[in-house]
Amino acid sequence: MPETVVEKETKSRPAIDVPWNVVVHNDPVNLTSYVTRVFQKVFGFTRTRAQKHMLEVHNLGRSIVWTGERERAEAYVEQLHGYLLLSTLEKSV
Amino acid sequence: MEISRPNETSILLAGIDPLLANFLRRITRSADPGDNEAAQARIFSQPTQDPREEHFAEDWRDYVEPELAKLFQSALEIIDGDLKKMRSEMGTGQAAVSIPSDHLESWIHGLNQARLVLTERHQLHEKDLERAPASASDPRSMLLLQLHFYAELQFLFLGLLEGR
Repeated sequence: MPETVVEKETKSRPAIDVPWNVVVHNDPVNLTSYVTRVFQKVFGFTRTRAQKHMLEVHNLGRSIVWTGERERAEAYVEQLHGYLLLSTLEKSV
Repeated sequence: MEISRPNETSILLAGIDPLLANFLRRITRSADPGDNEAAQARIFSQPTQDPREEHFAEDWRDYVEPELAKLFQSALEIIDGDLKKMRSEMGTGQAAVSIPSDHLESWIHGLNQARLVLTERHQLHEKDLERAPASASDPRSMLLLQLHFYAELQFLFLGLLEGR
């Protein structure tokens, strides 16, 4: 009788259930008005809120623009990459 | 160069100097990262900085990046299509091109991509970008002029979209 091999799933994503941050990082090329517009389009932010995050990115190097469940965070990062913003997903601590 | 809105559905760029017309024709070529690793890495940036998310990053490369590449390509094809209709005047050499209003998003994207790729390809830094182009005979200055022109056009198009 052949030996039964039980494979363990090793490719599980860590801590899927914790809140996740969508972070936008600064780069010197993207125009501030462009970044503001992208935030308004992707997240539906008011102009004031979009500008606040844009200034955070510009002055502090990064801004957490959204926090929530993993799947939506991934979708937001994908949209931001579609606009060529430097954006990453990170676990919220 | 003058920008006007002859009607609700189009934008007219007219009186375009031959040098600037040449920069316009170079948008799609400039936006192509080719084999340049730095430019590729900027256009297809990492979705995570966490080394434990290696599997996610792999999936991203396999499934998301090809979709992004299609999105970027479609914007560049729209720009190319509009530029094929650009015409130059015999006497002055000045060009004019009409851009449908619903193509503005693609133009903004393509100009942005071209600026990002050129900056990486030529290893320009923030200080370089703030420098004013010095001389037409200096290739680095011409590159800066091209980047400034793309940025200005992108800014103007953003303004048009926002009704400014």
